Amino acid sequence: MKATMRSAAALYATVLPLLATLAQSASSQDEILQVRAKEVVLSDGSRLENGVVVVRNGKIERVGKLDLDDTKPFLEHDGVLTAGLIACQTLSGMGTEAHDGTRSLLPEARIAHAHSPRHSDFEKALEVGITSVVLTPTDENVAGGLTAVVKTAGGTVVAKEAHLTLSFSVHAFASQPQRFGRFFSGEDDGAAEDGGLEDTESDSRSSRSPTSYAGALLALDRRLEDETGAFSRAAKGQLPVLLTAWDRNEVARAARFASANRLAGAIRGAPLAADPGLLPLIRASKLAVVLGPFAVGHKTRALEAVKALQDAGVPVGFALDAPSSAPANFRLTAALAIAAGADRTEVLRSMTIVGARIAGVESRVGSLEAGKDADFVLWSGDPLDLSSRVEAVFVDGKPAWRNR
Amino acid sequence: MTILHTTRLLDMKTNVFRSLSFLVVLASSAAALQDKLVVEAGRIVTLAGDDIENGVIVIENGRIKAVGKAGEVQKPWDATVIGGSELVAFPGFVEAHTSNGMDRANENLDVAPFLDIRDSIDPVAFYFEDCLRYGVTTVNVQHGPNCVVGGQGMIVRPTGMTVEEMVVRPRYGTKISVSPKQGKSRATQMQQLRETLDGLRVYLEELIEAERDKRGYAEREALAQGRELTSEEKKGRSMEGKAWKVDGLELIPRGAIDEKQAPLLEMVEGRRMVFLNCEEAMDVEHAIEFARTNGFLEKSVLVLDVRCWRAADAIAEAGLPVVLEGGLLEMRRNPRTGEEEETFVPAILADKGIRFALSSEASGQRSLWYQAALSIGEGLDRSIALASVTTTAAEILGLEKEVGSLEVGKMGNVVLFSGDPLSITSWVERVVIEGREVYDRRKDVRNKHLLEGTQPRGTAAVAEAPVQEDDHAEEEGEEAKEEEAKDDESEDGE
Amino acid sequence: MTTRTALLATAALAAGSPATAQEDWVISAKTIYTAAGDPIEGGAITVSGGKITALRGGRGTKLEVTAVTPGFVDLSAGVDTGSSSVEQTTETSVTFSVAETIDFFSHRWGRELASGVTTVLAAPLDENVLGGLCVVVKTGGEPTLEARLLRKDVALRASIGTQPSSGNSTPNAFRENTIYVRRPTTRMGVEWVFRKAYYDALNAQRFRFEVDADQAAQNALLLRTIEGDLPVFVKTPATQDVRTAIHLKREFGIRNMILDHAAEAWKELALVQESGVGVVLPPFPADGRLRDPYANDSYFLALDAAAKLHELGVPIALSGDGARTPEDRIARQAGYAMRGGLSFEAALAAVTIAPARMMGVDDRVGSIEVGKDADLVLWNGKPFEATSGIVGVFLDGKLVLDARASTAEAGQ
Repeated sequence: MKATMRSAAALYATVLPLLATLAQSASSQDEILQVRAKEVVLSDGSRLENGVVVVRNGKIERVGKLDLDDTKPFLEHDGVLTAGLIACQTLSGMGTEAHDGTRSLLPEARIAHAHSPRHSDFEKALEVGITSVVLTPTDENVAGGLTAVVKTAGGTVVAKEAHLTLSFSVHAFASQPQRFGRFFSGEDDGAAEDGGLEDTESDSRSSRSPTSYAGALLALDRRLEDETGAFSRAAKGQLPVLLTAWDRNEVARAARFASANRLAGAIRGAPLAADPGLLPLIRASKLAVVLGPFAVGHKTRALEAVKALQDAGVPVGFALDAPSSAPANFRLTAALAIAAGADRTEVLRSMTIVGARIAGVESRVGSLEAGKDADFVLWSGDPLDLSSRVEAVFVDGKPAWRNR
Repeated sequence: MTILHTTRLLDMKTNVFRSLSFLVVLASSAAALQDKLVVEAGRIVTLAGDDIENGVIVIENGRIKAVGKAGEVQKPWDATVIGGSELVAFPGFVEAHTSNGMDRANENLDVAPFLDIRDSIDPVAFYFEDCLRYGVTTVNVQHGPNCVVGGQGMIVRPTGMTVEEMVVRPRYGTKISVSPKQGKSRATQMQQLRETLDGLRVYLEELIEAERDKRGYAEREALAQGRELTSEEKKGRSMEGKAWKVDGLELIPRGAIDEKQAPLLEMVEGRRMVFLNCEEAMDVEHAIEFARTNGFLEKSVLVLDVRCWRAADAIAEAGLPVVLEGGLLEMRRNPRTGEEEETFVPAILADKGIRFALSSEASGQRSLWYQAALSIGEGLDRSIALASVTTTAAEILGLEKEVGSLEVGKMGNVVLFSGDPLSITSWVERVVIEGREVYDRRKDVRNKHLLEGTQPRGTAAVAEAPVQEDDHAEEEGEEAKEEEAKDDESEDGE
Repeated sequence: MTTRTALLATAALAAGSPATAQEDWVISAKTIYTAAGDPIEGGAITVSGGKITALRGGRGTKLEVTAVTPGFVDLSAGVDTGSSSVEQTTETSVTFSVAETIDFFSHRWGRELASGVTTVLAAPLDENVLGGLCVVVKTGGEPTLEARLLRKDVALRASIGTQPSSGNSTPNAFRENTIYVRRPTTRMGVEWVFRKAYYDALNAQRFRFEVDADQAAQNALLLRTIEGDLPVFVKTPATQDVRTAIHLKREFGIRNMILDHAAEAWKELALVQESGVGVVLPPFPADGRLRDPYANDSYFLALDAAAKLHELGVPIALSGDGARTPEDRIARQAGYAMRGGLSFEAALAAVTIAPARMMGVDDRVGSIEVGKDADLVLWNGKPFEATSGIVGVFLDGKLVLDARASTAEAGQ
């Protein structure tokens, strides 16, 4: 049977019957969908004019300048098609479950158990084209737990234990915010999340050990000697780490810690990663860096970090940090980074394949390649252009969201 | 001093006794014996020419009568002599502006030009004591900056048990703050300043109009305010305003003018010094404009915080002198690089040819000599640095003929240092104000305390030989016993 | 030039490429105050490869100044990262080292350099009775520990007085039970904690108790302070704190003790002298009073304290305590000490070789001698005089502060 559509506006009217058709044929046939877009953008930056993506049973079967098989369902999109976007950090869907104040070291806690897949945060992420996210705990524990990679629709957990999170941030320490900031207080000098000067002390009131950088390092050194468990896996290189650090001295400490213990993974935060004192340390540590999200008013030196890291060959991913940051900032992050000099293709890769690599799930998502999950986004124009709209998002081959 | 004439002898017939002989006896009051002071020093820094080696200063009746080398100056036989060859003489320092030494520096009232600082100065305040300790002999005390229009100040000498004994120039200067009083914005501050002087104009106009209707107002007004009309005040005088004036003021005797408005009138007529407080560079331009529009620009002195160096061009163009408060360096952090930057402000003022005086306000109690010394270290020309705490400061206060240097005719204000006046190891040993010795460090108990502290009771004076280490001295008790034994011979250290 | 910016070490010195070799310099001065003997008149210092290679002319970029002193060594410079510089869950964090926790990116390093300080001691905050191990680092260079470290774990930091007990409170039914509800809350509690740590260590050694690894490590460190090679650097602001510290030294036989911030050490001259402790004095306040920020109390620092202690042979050092305003920086403290009667030579030593010796880094810094690090302070007048200013600073042979044309002289 033929089912053709010409305009995006008619998408809605025709997808439902399409699904019905698919359902009828479910038991006896594979679910196939062909999507042709004016422009398909691949992970290496190349663009296929009138490219076609063929989806079978939720996975990508083929991508290329192919002919459409009229006998199978297809849809035509007058715009751009890219792989679904990947956010390398977020607190979506977790409410207050992201922070355990009772203990500082919780390396076995699985964040996967903390999220509610039906939470509206995920739909909001979907709206901006994000199909997979890395759920992390807050940076208020020295070892917050094991991150998870989940899809923003359908509730699929792509990876139950993606990273061991370690916080090198002063937010992990208990402190009584009176009379302690002395002459050389690092907090006074450091980077706030927007790259400006930090001007507030940590106000975490929980009273647990450790309360100092020295104490935290001692505790971590000791735990890395564990024989079993998350720490031992990280030490053996079997489990990547996600290190949160904001101030320059925190980032330096995190990078050196990773280098010294040969840990793989990424640093999250580091708004001043472009600082000439930090860049060599980050490069030597072979860690990736998860930056952002940037918003209007972010300090220029933080925005320039993207370009500096790109030039240094350090993989960059972007954070979503919902719900405290609006999901739309994810796209704004990319635009601001490009305005500050970052390479466009590289930025898109950071939002897709590189993000997937950082999340450790690149075998399944992040690019339009045969065998990967059929997560892709239909845009009205260039995805890096803020005036483009997300028209539809497909997750695991099924339409998950469409612009009404 | 009385002169006794002896009358001619009666019944004298010889020519010899025809002439009248006068016997002039100077009746000495108690003070006259001290009216002659000779200060000897191994070196005299006059700040009016070369230094004098082995010099002598002769002070009579409070004024310098002679300054020169010991052999060349005649010392009166009946003078008190102080000093010594190990000492260095220096002119007394001049504090061009301060709000110390008084009860609270400002009244709550925004506009209070009628307040007189004589009611607020505390003669025994530590500040005046410290002035003597650091050789400051002339002080211009003004109201604080937390006002719109403050009261009248006074130039004083920092010695005396009553304000009257301290006065050098009474009712000297009026304080105005261009920087907003606490709680106000700049807009409201300037508006209130303008309103105050507009109010003066309206008051005068109304007064003249009322007088045109009825006379005899003057006597009644003065009576009501409990004042007597002096001869000057009894007369009327037309207004001498430089920038603006009202006609017909000669109908009003000066004494009849409300004492709340009288100081403002003097200000606008250019007959009062005005000290304008500016904390930001933007305030400087407002201050200059306000002074110019109201006719007291030539009588204005800017009292500036360090941040105001950015307005140096405007200051230079207006030709105004400056008192630099708030330190010598503006320190700020570059928000982009995070580096700290320092700007040495006196050098900028000197470069632009602006006359300026330093202030002891920011240096705690290390005072004017220290500010001058630090400035030299920062690269300021030595003579400008010294002048900023002596002659230039005196000039700003209109006392250039009175103080600031050791020259014949000026007031006998001399400081004797134990060494070079700007050396960190020199102390002020003696201070002479108008020919009277008012400070002797040997008798300064507080200074001794600062230098040596006070040994608490029970702690041993230093033992002649080090005591053997006692292995068993674990308990406090043992220690206390040892000390009690020594207590008899040890001094309190006081 | 009236605006001066301290060149931040990272910007100026972080070498991107190995091609930025150390420059050679020849610094000639009217007087070189070496802190190792008599001053040298009309001499020159040759700098190469970051070290002082000769005390006569040589090859290199030429610089001429009025006077040169060694770079200053400040043992009490307030280097910390705020509350995260101290482990607050315990009062005895003996084995903790600050080495990895120093913030080398802080803008305050620039301030220290501007005041002529080239070497500082970084110590744990004094919120703990036994805070941990201190390190000696340079104030400039690349922002890494490796580049700046002079000596690691040079002393055990302790604190006697009001500070360690401040912030602790007694149990109370209406108060939230946090880690701060604990002893000590008084001076005697502080002394008790100190004594218990040592008592336990000595007993464990004597009776061969079985202890866990952490305790064993702590005991070993404490025993090292008794057996000799680890000094205890203890903060003692008040007279009674000085006495307490010295009594503890005697009780446990601590070999090498240095009193920090010992404003009132001058009140116990005999005790200090016979105990053999060294003394680091805080900056001299104008009125002599140092207010205690943790208790309603104040301490008095007599101006002649340094002179009196030095006269008795007590090793003394002066400090700047991280002072912000130039009036309070360490070079001015030397001047004030001289005002109180200390000789110039002793004042110079008190900010250079004496603190270096106290912390065992005098093989590298603290005086101008061939072979030592090229850490120098250049002056436009006689050092420490009120009328003299610092016109340049060398650190590891690099000119890191260039305030103005080096040939300008103070008005003499």
